Amino acid sequence: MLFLQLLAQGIITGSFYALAGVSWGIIYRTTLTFHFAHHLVFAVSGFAAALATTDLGFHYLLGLGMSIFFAALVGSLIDALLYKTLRKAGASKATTFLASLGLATAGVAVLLLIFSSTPRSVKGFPIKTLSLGPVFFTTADVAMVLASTAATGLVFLFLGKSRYGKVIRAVGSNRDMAFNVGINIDHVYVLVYSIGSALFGLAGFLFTVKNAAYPTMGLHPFFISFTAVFLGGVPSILGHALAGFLLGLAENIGMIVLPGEYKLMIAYGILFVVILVRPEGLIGRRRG
Amino acid sequence: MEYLYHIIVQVIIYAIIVQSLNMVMGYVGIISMSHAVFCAFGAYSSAIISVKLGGNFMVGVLVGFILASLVGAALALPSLRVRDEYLIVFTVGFQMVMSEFMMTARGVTEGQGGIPGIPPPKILGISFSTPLEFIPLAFGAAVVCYSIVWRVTHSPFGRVLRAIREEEDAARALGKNTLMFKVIVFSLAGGLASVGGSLTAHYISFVSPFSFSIEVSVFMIAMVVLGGEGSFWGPLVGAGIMVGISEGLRFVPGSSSYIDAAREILYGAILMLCMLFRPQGIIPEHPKLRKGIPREKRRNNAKNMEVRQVLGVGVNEGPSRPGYYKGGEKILEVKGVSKWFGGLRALDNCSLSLTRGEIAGLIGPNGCGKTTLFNVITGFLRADEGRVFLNGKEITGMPPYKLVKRGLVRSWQDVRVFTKMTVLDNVLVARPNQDGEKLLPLFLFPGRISRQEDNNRKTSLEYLRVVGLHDRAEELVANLSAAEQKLVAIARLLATECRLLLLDEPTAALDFESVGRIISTVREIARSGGKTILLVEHNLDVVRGLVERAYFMSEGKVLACGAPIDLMNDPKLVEVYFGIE
Repeated sequence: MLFLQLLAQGIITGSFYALAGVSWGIIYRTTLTFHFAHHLVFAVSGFAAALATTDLGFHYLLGLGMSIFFAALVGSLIDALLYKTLRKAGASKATTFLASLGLATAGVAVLLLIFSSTPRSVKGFPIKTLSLGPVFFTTADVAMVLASTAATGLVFLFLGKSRYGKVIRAVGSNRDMAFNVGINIDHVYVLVYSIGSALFGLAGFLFTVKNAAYPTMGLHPFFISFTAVFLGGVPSILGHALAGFLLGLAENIGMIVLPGEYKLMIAYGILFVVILVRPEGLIGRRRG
Repeated sequence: MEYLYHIIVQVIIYAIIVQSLNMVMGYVGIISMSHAVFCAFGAYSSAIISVKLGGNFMVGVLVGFILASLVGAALALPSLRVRDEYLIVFTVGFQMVMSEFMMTARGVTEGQGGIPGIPPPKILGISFSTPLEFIPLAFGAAVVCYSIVWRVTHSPFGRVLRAIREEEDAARALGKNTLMFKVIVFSLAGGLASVGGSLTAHYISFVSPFSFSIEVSVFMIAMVVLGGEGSFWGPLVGAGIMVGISEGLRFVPGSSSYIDAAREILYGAILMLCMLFRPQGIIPEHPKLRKGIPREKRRNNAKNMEVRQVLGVGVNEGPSRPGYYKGGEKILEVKGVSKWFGGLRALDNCSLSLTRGEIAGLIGPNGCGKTTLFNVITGFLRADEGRVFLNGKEITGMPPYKLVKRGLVRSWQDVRVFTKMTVLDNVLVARPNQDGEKLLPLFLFPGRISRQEDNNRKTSLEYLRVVGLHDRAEELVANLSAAEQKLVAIARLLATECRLLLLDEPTAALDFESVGRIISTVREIARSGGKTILLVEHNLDVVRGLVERAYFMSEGKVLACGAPIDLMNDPKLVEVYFGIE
């Protein structure tokens, strides 16, 4: 019984992690920027949801829309204002990472200054407890699984089939070549940051529904997101989703033997071992 | 007054911690996101040993140092297999896991409540309890720490660290076991940071997990960046300014939670603005570094000259005439090497051999596998099949740094000189068997090392004379022209004293005059230096002018071997090369 409940919990957490992995993965595989401020984007979406539904009294669907919109807005602004400037100045990856780190630190502190550290919740989302035999879960959990599956599938189709998807893949595999055939790299980057941030915004909304919004809420999902990307293998979006899902499963099933405090350690341990044995990740192909 | 002393103690302790981080970030170029955790190892060791076990101050410091060094070494180990970005991943993860551990492992760390009541340090009966008394203790620790870092970074060891930061693969290709260096530096940096942690614990007599959170790690990174990455006094300046700001904010009226938020905003903004407007920090490592593209010192009178005119050989003359190659002792043998990339067969049963003293070429159309074969021979790629022999001994799958010890060294198509180092340092770093690259001799036998260093300096200047750059020895390589950088790369190869040189397109992307300069240098090296050379080259005139014998590759196969002139007269090969139907 406990196992089934933990399995269900694993699938739910796994869906959340898969979405997080894909959201950072599409950005990293295309731009190769270690976008640390991604966790700021998550917090922004959480506060957008809480403010819209609680303070402004909007319908929760409008709250969802605002979550995604503000996440995408902040994500693309970070690229357009900060990363683009650094790119033009020929900054190294490390420089961009440090700038991103600084922005994330300052941004989270700004949220702390405005909203304080008191958690804020989303109002109006119809949370009901459902059961399937001995297993219990909520409508929010169902929404998480559905949203994650749908979003991951859509991104996969978009990258594989659409014209823009091809352009994004072209930039990801060879930026200089893509530039030389006339692709506007800056536009592609902004697009990718918008998509990745919107996905993380969706995850942020559902997280806030289940938990609450607070300034450092993005840190743990962000840690999971890049862990999933490197675990799955950088080039493969499906790999990011799968690795995220596996992390969620492992974390919950691991609780049969380990106490809850070791959740993070499980993810970290898996990453450490897998990268040592298979540096290209679970699905990624070894590059020459 | 007491408050001023307090600030001084804080600055000194932070200066120690930040210097240790600077060693990793500034000199090796690796960003560590978990430096606060290393401090925590020291702080908690001190706290547990002094409070729970009643042990001495020095015991706590020592235990913390050992623990943090071991953990530091372990954290650097993944860099054996993966690029440095992964170290960001591992250190962020490590920081988060350890924060969680400090919060929850009540049995060890007492959880969120922390461990209070740590006694002031006592050494030989002298107790250091007030801030004023603490200053000499902290200062003494800082002097020891800064002396160690100075010795480590301003020595052959530090030169290798900077080379790793600039171009890690090139450092490996020159015979440096770069993993070893990274592990040692991470370990030492962890240990020194833990000393800072121990001092803090005894000074404020309390440890808690909140003092070692990820925000604190970021705070330390901001201090390194502000002071100037890779500059020796930068950490002191960075720590002074940041602690000053932090303490100054205490006088701003308002609730403490607002002040804390404002402080975080300030740190984040400083970090971001530094990266945008002054990435080199307040005290830059190289004040002399010129901005922008290095000027090309090129006199364009060679514009219309054919390469073979520069070489001074006609088409049928020179070393490439048929029959020149007589055979002899084999120095390198490649037997049946194959390599797959996924489904693509990049190398297909390739064999070749080199005779001592010859210059041989490896030619073929783009993407035919020349560079892949190069990478397999030099240990940068592992062959799926086949074997490689050097001087009759098998070297298949050996890492690059071992190959250099056996006398094989390579150059790079894209040069890969260490741009933010001087010309002389670029060459010096390639010198073999330097005791100063090992930590123990560095501290135990300073005399021997400085004698070695003098000799190496003389030899390196000689090699710079060979390529004609001895008068620019103290110039930063970043300020040199493309051709001059290629010459630095050649001097670097010579300095390894290897007998077998593998040159990857030494004349690519150069103007005619520079091509001539490189070619005459290479020929001079082979003729009077007794070196054997294998050359990958696109420019057929260069091949004709330099090479006695060439291997022709296409689609991963070695198709033919012979004098370049014969290969170029073979209609079948010409068709493959130029794609003529």
